[in-house]
Amino acid sequence: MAQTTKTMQVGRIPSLTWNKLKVNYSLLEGDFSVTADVATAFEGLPEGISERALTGEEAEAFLSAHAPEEKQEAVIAGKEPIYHPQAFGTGLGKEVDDFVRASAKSVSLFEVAEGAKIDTPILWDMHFEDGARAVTSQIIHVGENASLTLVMTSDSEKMASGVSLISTRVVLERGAQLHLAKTQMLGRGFLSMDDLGAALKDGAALTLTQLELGAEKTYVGTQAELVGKASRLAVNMGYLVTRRENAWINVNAVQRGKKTDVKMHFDGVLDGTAQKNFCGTIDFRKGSKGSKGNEQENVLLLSDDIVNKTLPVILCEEEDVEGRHGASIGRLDEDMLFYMAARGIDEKTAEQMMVRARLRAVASAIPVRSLRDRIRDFIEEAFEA
Amino acid sequence: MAELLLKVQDLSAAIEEGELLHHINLDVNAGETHVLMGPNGAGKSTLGYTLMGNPAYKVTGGKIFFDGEDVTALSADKRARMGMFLSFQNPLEVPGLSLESFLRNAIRQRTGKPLKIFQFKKELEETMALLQMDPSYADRDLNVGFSGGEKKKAEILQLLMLRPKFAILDETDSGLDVDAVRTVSRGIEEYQKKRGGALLVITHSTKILESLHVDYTHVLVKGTMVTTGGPELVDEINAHGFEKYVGKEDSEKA
Repeated sequence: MAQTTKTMQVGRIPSLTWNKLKVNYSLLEGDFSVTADVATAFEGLPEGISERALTGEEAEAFLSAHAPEEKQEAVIAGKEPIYHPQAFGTGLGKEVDDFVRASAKSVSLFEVAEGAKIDTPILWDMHFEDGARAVTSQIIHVGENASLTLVMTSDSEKMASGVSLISTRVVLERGAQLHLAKTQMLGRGFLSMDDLGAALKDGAALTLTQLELGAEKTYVGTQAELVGKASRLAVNMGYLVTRRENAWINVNAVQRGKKTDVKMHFDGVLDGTAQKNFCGTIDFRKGSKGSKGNEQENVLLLSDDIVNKTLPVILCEEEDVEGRHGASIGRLDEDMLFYMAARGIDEKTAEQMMVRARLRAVASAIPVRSLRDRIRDFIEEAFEA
Repeated sequence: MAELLLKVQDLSAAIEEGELLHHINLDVNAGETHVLMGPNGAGKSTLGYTLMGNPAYKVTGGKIFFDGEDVTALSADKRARMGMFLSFQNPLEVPGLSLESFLRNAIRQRTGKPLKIFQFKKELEETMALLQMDPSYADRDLNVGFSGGEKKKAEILQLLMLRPKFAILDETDSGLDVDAVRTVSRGIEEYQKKRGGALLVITHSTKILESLHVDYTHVLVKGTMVTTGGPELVDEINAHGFEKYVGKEDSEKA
């Protein structure tokens, strides 16, 4: 069903700050009518994995049954509840979720059976044609003590335009492990929205490797709820925003269970007149005793006309927790430039090498050589006129 | 007649806080090995950085000539492309950039020509074997997770692969155990003998010099070159320390 939405509130941060900073949420205006489907076909899925389409009602029922445990939400400074009213939260929030629900024809349920250890990475490629405006919605359900590496890639031709909205819910049962590697290499006229919500039960581990490299406007939202005891989240995200592109990134780790562990690392490169807004939140809820959370964002600025906003946030309702955040924002380190120069490498080349190195360091966790090569080529081309 | 490679003429250098080097003179001919010694804080590394063109150090007087050209105002990358090299005391870590890729880029920049991959690979393999480096280090991110010894070996690997005419080795032996010093020395010897490279070895220990032929020894105290001698000076300092040279810098300056 196609739908047109004029304005959507996107990527609202968990704890609002001064409106004047314009970092609380983004208002996305435009015509989002859906005109295309993105075909997803898996050939020869290994034993232990199944994939099927759910209707909207079936998907709702599934998500309700697996939604993170509801607890009374904290109230910040006596003003308002800190989250949107989503039973199964996502990083881009309710309005995007409502739009997905109304627009996606079906929801793909991808399930890994209890105890199944899938050694081979499963590749999920989404290729967008020029002009495509598509919504895909999927639920990834990994059974108890099962493990999976899922490599999702969205791409199009270099100069293509369109809209891509990818909505993913992840449910990890006790002891389940998922490495979700997402790479976005869309064309220069694309609006890309990537929305993720995850629920982790006891001992479950989600590793999210994410590269946001293309598109004109990029919105990335992740909300992972570490409900279970000793559940773990590791996020390694690299992003490249060049020319006149915009990126809005909102990543929330909600630590509810005891002894949960969150490590989030963001490496960004900004060039041209790029604008980027990043908010990374570590949210220790009551009961998360013994939990640890750590986030770091490193941003490399390659031009003087960039707008870079970084909000590392730690929210805390529990005393016995360890939370750390840090950010480094700037040009290339002088010592690094001298080291390169002492080997005959000029500043411009050193800069290019460091950009590639920074993003390749994130890509190195993707266990598919051919994809890493494509990423390398995409980064090379990104700096071409 | 020996070919003059590096000429340092009345060189003074400073950082924002003040002058660190005072009226340094130094001539290095092609193929020669010079040793620069001095107590901690004498300015040895500062001289190395200034010769290489680190923008953090400002030349306040004098000139540096390399290969007959005044390089005083040249950037470090241009000096490196002319054949100068600095081995760092604390090599930097570069996540995402493999040692091999770094070397390939550096060689391409220096030569301005496409790399002959087969030849490069063969030479890299042989040189790593000489330095007793596990071949897997070529694919690893540059210096990331390397031990102190492996970082220094990686520096010497770069020295051998880049084939500069003149190399400054800044405390290459510091923090290394006996075996690692021996391996690194072997690499330096290879550079000195088989590749005919000139060296300025900055050190305050003498272990690394045992297997090297030394032509001249210089002593730097508080930014001033207080004496120059032959290889015997190394043994003398080894036996008696720098005591007799400390205080001499005032008379040198005067």
